[in-house]
Amino acid sequence: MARTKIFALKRPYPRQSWNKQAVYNLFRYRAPQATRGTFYQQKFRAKQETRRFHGEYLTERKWNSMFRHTLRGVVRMNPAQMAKGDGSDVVSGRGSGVDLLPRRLQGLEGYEGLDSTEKRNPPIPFVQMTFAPLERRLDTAVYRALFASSVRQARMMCLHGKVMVNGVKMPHAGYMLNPGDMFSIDPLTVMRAIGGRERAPFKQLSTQAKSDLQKAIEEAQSKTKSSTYLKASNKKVLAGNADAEVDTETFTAAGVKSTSSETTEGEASGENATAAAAEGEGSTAGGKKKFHLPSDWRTYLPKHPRWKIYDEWKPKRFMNLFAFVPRYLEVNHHICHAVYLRHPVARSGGAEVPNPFGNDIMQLAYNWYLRRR
Amino acid sequence: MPPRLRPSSLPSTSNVIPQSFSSSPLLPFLLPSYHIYTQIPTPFSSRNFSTSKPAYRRIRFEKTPGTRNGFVNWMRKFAPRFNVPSPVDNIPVYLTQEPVNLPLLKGDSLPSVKKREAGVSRKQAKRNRVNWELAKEKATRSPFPGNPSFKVHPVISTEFREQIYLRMKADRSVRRISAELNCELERVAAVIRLKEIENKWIEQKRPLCTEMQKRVHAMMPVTEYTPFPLHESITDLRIHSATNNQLFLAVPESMPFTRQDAGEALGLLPADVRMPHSELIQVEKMKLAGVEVEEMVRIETEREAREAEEAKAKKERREKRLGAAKVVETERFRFRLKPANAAAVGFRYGVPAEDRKRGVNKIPTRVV
Repeated sequence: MARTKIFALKRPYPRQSWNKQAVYNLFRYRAPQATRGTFYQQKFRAKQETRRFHGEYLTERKWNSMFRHTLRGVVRMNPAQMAKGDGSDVVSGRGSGVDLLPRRLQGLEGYEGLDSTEKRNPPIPFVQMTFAPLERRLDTAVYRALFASSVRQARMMCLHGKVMVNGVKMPHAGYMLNPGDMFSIDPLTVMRAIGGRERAPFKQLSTQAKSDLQKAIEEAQSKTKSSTYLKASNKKVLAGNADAEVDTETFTAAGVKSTSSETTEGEASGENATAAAAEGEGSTAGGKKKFHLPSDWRTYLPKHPRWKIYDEWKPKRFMNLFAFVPRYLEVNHHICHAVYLRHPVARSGGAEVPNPFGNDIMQLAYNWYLRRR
Repeated sequence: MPPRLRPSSLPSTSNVIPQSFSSSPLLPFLLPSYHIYTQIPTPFSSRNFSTSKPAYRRIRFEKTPGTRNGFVNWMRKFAPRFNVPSPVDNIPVYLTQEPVNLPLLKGDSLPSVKKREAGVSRKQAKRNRVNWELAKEKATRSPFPGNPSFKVHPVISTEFREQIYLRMKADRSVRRISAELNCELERVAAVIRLKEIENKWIEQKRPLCTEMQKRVHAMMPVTEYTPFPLHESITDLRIHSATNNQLFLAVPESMPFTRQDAGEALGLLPADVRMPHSELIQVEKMKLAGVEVEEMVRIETEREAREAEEAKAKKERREKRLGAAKVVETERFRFRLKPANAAAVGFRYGVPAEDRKRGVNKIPTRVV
């Protein structure tokens, strides 16, 4: 059965999350000794350790069906070098090129100028690509594009229908992205997912304020002449008038004013058009009912963006430890869109799959999944 | 087996750096070791030999001392150093673990600890041996300390994207922009796509998350735009799976074996053709031959025009092919009716269709 306490401190496992306990567990995580036990035990242990990090919410059967023993890699070509010759110098001599330093001369004085090929090109860490098929999954790509603070959260976004692929809602977290696919999420969802704690007035609205807001909206939408205690501009907003909604001046005023919004409930806040809309002087004098709205009541309206978060966004705690975008993605955080350029590849000196495990463990895990194949 | 250190040489609390420097990427290296796999010796032990258990006695998960396995203490003392929402000078701060093998200086410049100068403390002499430049480079590029082979690659800055888009507006081809700015072809195309959407949003007066973009970029390595940026390699040749197997081929010793020959032996196109930006080879050849710059520009412009023509012709052919079918638009489907040969239908009958089976979740494989 799948483990429910995924960030447990007593038996810590590394997880793909920015959760504070996950960070603590990752900080004190040490890879197990790979040399102890039989080969089978080593492989099993390596598979356990790596699978706890990579797609731990997937069953082993599901992952087994995704695993591919072929690993993608690229070689960097040098056009200047290729223009000079037709490539025959690489296999000249005894078949391995003339510029390779013979072993008897390696490390001798006076021969440092000649470099062996191994030194020029560090090996391609192919085993780091073992879990590359997971990077194609939509939920993982959303996490890698920094649109969610954990893979599980990204998965939840997908399942809730927040993620679009090429402009079409894609409610399957397991959708395998194709090269060139563009995925996007509503910016507000992203900003809340990877943002720090929001201010209190954003989070909760008192019951009284909620009902008052509801009444005010109904009042404005009913088009009866009884709603005299609302200002005309506010009435337009509440009635869902599009022209009133893009009235940016009013919104910036609301954003500025709402820093002290804790105390504005039930208090008149002066000439500000947005604050406490119903509390004009005329309203109380006429004996009409009084609305107790917070000053940023506009941000609670349906279909209305919460403007403040756009200007005051703060990163979630520990985000800097995970702030990187792999090369196979191109992300635009302005609009929260990203493009999956190509499948991740390994190249000389580094692989593109983000992975906290060393080559020896990955080699063992890869071998585990190779069996029966 | 962990190093059997004497308690006196272990880092003590007096070594801890003040919190005001907390955004230096090197700082976590200097923190005392604090993880479950190391025995934390009692500071009051008067024994000068190791008190840690031998490897076979140690269990895998040791309880870290402190409330909630040391988590509360860690959050109070160490977490503030790792949580750096706005790093100084945009130098990224990634996770580092203790104990860390700091890279030492190479060769003759490595100072000795024993023969240190008078007035230099032992601790300072040890620190002088460390290659701090390299350590900094490592710390700012590897977010996973356990895996040095994973390096963070910088992203391109907002200005860089703007430049790519401006060049597209100036009617330059994606291939040319890619070669000019050292960005992969796919990346250039994606940047232009994203920029188009961004402009549409601005037109629609939809708000952009400028603050988030700014702060996220401040936390990661970014390639700034320069007239000749070096962002990434654009000539990465994909390793074809046919080249993974050994191939034994008898070749005459006196004849050169070229890339062309290798491609033929493997049944592939030669690397000169398969490589992205293969036209750069021709450019380099012209450079070697000492062709005038004007001539090179002329040849390149001709080639671009030819390629554009070819692409256009290909697109037209494709549209013609697709347009051949009769299209019936319904609410859900777009039927493209084509004349079919009914005689070939029978081959489907033997295959069981699973699409109506319970529990089979049909995830689309592509979204157009």
